[in-house]
Amino acid sequence: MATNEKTQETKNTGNKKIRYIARHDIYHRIWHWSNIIFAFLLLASGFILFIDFIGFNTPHLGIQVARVWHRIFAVSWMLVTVVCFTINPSNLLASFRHIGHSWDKDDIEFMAKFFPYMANPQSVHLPKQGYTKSGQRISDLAMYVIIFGFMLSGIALWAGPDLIGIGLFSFFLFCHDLCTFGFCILILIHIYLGAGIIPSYTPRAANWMLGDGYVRESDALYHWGHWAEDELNVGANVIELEEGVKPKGVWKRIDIYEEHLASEDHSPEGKSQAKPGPEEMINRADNRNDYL
Amino acid sequence: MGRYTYNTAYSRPEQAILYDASKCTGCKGCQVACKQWNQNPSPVYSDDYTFPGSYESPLENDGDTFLHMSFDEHDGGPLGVKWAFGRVACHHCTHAGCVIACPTGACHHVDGGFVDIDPDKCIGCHYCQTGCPFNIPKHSERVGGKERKCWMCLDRLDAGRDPACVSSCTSNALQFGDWQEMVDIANARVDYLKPTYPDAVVYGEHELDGLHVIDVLQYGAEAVGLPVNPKIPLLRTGAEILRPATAVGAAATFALLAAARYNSRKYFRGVDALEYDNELDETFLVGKVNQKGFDHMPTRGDGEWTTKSRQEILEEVVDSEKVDDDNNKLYEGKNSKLKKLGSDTLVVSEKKEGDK
Repeated sequence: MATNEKTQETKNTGNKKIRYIARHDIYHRIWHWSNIIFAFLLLASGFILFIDFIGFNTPHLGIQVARVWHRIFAVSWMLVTVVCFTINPSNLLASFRHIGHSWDKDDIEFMAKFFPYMANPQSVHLPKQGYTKSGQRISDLAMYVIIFGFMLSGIALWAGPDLIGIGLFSFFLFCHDLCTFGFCILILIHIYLGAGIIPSYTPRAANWMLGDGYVRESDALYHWGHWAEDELNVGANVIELEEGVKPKGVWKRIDIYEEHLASEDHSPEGKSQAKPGPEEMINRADNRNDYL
Repeated sequence: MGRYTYNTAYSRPEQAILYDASKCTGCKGCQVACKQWNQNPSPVYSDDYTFPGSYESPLENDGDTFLHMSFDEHDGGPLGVKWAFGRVACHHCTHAGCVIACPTGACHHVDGGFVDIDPDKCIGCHYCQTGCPFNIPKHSERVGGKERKCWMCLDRLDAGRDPACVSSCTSNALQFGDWQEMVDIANARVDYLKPTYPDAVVYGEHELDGLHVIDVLQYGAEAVGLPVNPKIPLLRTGAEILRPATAVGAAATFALLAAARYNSRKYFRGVDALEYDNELDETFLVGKVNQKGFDHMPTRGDGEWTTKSRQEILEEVVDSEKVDDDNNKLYEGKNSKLKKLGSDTLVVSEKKEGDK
């Protein structure tokens, strides 16, 4: 195969290096792993109640056990989230912050072309994106709303109609079911895109959040062109490795946008002329009406 | 078990209780008989009760009170006051919201058209409460956190007896028998009452496809707090729609994604489309173009996506050789590269003017 030939050539020259950008720190990845595990456990234990035909053939004890465990899983999930946010809030909060960024023309174009791209990636080309793609922002917002809905309605259902009244109980039960509907649809799309089932995402997509947290320069530029360029220019989260050497996991990463905004010294002195300094980066971000 | 298990093999015709409020004296004998037969406790001291402003006690039915007699006083009527007695207990609906809502099958119909809650299957999830338009099933922690309600004294029925409440009625306001027979008696009674009580109605013949407790209400349904046209609550109906909708939605999403995956099966963007050259300190676009038409590559900087075919790129390469020497020198080693790595694959690196 051509790829093999190329790899061979790389090894022969000994010059080929690959740059990686740290995208998800350890707490972000732990949180995401907990999301996967607990979402699966909660869906499994909840479906026994949600889908009648499962419950009908399940012994009473099994259903009750599933119901109790459903609550234990939910509380555990919340605890993991709280712990991860407490230890390192910056990058996790960044996930929320990016959702609120205003949309520039690239974002609108991305969203307009996203579904045609999904169906026909060979002839539709997506524009560059910032740290979080516009479609990803919509998806993340929907997911956070759903998870908040799950939490709120779950606590209300736990409290029971004796405490909140049958009217509110019915409302929250409907909300819980509605969240299940949205969650099932979103999670299928998320798995399709995030696990690299779509060919254009490549199997490496899963590694970003589930593996070492590093994104190859190639992938970063493909997926989040604007963000990758900023990261490569600043270099704080960029590592360079010989091809074939796997990076160790990202322990902590610097939010370049936060760091440079917080910094009082934005003078260009001492900065490489070859790479834009924070001011240039911020100006560029300003021009995109993004991140600031 | 601690509970009589009725003979499920026994098949009985549809039956019903007839409650004629115009004959009821409000003695609450039925309420006491229900408590007695089902061994449900009552608060002992008067301090345990809150004065409701009426003759009711307790204020409503609960997990230990399957039958609750309500007393409503309204102005009007032939005697100046409409004293409406109501029998608040399960109506044993044909189209029963509790049966629909129950996730475990604990709420179920039994012979005769009645609705029972199997305590062995009940998990106390309260869902049956959300499906009942009459707010009848109630939670009881005394029996281990389960939902409870009137079960039509199925043990007595199997023994050929009437339900406890019917047996205790001294004014013949409660009768028990075949459903149609009870409906006919109720209609005849309403015809008799109509001249004096124009609001008199039969409640339960058509409601929710037929109830198995038929009421004769001389002051109408609203006077005793019953919904005129009872329906399974909208939120419950919505939740019931959501469940199959979730399955259909998930299946449709899966199908769409599978179709998208199939349609893009030949697409391959090149996993190493961009690479960093540390000698030149530059990142080069390295797109793959092969004979199957993998015809576009990502670029960086101010570059644009390209959809050139392999043939077009080959033609461009030929053209680029004709470009003047100065231009070639300007980008020497950085901005124009072409390496042939295989017979069917081409790796192209190119850089545009103005890029770093």
